[in-house]
Amino acid sequence: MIKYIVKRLLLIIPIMLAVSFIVFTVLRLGPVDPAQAYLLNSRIPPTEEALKVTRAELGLDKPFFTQYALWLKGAVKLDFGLSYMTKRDAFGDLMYYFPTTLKITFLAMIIVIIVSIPLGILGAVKKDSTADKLVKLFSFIGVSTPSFWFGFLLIYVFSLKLNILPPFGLDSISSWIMPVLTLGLMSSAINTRITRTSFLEHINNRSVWYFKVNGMKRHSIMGKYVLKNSMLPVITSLGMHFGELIGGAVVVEVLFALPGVGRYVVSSITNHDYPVIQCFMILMTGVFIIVNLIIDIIYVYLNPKIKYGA
Amino acid sequence: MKDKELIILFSLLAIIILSALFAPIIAPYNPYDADLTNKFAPAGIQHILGTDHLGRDVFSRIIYGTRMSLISVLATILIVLILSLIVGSIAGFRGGLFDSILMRICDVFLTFPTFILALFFIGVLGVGLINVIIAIALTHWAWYARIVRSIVLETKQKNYVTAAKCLGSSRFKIVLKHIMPKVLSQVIILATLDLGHMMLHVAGLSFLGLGVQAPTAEWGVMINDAAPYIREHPELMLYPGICIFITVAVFNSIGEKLKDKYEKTQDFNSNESEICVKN
Amino acid sequence: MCEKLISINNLSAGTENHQILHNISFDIKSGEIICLLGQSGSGKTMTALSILNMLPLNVIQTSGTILYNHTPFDESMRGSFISMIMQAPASCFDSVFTIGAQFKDILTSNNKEYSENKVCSILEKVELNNPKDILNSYPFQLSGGMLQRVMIAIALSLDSKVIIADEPTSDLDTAGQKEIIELILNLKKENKAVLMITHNLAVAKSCADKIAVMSNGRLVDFFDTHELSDKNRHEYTKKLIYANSMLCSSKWNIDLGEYNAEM
Repeated sequence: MIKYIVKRLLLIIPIMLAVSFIVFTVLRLGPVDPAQAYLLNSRIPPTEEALKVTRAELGLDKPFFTQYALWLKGAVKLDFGLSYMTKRDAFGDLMYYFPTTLKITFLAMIIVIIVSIPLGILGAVKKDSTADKLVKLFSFIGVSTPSFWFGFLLIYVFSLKLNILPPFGLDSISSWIMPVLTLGLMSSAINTRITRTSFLEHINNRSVWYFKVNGMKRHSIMGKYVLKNSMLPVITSLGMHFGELIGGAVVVEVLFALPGVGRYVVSSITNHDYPVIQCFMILMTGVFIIVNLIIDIIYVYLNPKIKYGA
Repeated sequence: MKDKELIILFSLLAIIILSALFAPIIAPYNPYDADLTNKFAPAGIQHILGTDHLGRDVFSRIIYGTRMSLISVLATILIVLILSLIVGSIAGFRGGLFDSILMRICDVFLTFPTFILALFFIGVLGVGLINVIIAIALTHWAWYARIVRSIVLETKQKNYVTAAKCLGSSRFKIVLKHIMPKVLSQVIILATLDLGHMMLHVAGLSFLGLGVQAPTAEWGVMINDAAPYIREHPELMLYPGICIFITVAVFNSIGEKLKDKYEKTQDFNSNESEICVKN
Repeated sequence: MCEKLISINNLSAGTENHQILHNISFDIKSGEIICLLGQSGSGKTMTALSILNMLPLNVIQTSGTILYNHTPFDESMRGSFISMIMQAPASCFDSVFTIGAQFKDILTSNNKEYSENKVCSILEKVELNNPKDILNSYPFQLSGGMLQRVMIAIALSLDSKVIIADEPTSDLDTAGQKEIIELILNLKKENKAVLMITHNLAVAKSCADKIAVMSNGRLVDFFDTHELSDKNRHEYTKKLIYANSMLCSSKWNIDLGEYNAEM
């Protein structure tokens, strides 16, 4: 087990190297020249002369791999260069907003777990009952609803009509409710369905049948055997959904005017603020990889088939 | 009961496709004709769903919006299918070094969170609908390529393919007659299931102002336009949202139905008589 | 000694438009092994499911009674009164829990005390060496034959009076089959009643006291095993015997050494 964790931890290094290389290269392959982007952001007309000076300043005149090596050297020390827009340290800027984004994402993740697993199990255990139909309806609606539109509906109902929740900002604990619900809706719906399907699949296992004929009670079969088995695919899916959530957080932050990376990143995207975009990609992907690593470890821990290499 | 559901689904799908195709005929007004003297007109005989903050006819904009949504999502899925079929089948058939290089590339694409990667590609390519289509296609193809590869690998070892080989069918013929239909049928089902999800991504990017730009009649843009007036005119936001919801729901349900049907035929093929009974 | 544990009277069952079982009647007595013989689809499994009251949802018992020690069925009889040994044991155990955990849960659900020493001695009784290792391992780490023995051990620990064994030998090679049959024969010594479902006449002949032959949902023949070659056997039984003798008629002309005596 420890060997597996160490192996996975070491694997992060080449993965992050590949990620950084792709991020760096693809940006260079893009139609917009970084020097030009820099000048546009500084409101300097991109004359030939200015471009030349900027290229030298940003080190863009060096060979490609030297540039990458230099950038990587900085990135390892968390120095991603200065933002073209603000002329401040890109990493510092992002880190100012990043904790809020992480908090929203993790809170939404918790909501997803709290909502989807019990609902999915309820639907499976009471298959074809009214409760199951409601569960199915919920996941059907959740999967098809655009999250930002759902957010607006929440604002309209709870802030404008009922006046019980603040429509934007993060001034109190109640400010978190609508953003987190908005962000969690879609993943909750998808995971409810996955939990339900997985639970139903395992209810039909021969082992369940065997336990039942030999006198084991339904609730202990469901609550222990079917539960643990059916959670395995759910755990993997939660890992994938962390990616959806952290991406969706950008939308939700813009929608509810939250001080997360969202607004900042959207403006750096429209303004081709490359250092910020690069840093953003590395940060988000890094978090995604780490969360998935943790999830993989939990999965292996729970699944002896992998643990004992069968 | 089942048939009723299918009839409703397909009539909804027909309505969506028809309004996209015949938008200029169906829409009573030009969706871009602003009339500032007639803004926020209530729904009525003149304007079925009223007018927006620039006095444009909402119903006409919704109809034209269907076009945008369908075109963008179909273009995306087309790119995804072409890219993944090429990469996935090459990897599956050739195997060896080719396979491992292509699959490593897929792995890298799958390392990124989808929406974040889409944001990144837009950051590289710039804002706009075409770039959104490319970005979403680039973020989804790797997953499909892996699936295509695994279906190819699986089918390659099936008895009937071996039999065809033994009977002297040419390689090309085997691929065309036995393997491709199987790959296509499965991938198209997955794509149908994914269409709705992609549409939501497109709408989300439009909402952020990174996709379709402001005057265009597109549902995400319409929601964004209506946002400042949400207190007085919430219905302006309601209509396009419901349209996105219904379209996505229709695609999801059809995909679900196709999948059920496909799985049933699969079950039938591999049916084993067993004591274990569903309880 | 030979108490009537289960008596089946005129049992019929079927789906809405297709009858599966027609008027099945027989008794299961303690210290007796009955083999339910028939092709797949002959209704032998359905008969066993009726006894366990585990018929699939779309199958209904249309007539007849099954009495368990002269009383009707009760959920609590599963495990404590009737237990079951299934075929394809690899899929009958849960792969994310150890054998020991599953063993324990089955026993405690039936209000039986679980003590490792006791369970180990039972595992040794079914010829599983290293019982402690077996309890700590996961199903996928054991062979089919070993898991089949674990199942027998569970049935033994449950100490139920009736054991239903569904094709317990079907997934094993010949040597493994013989060993399992011996273990089942041992159950008789514990005064258990065993209902064994099989499609293999040779297996039935080697362990059954009585053989019940089923065909098309009917019990066509029921006899003591030593009456197998009797003249008035049912046509279908004769067919089975003939087919079996065709397959096994050639004597192996090999010196089996110490095994010769057994053959």
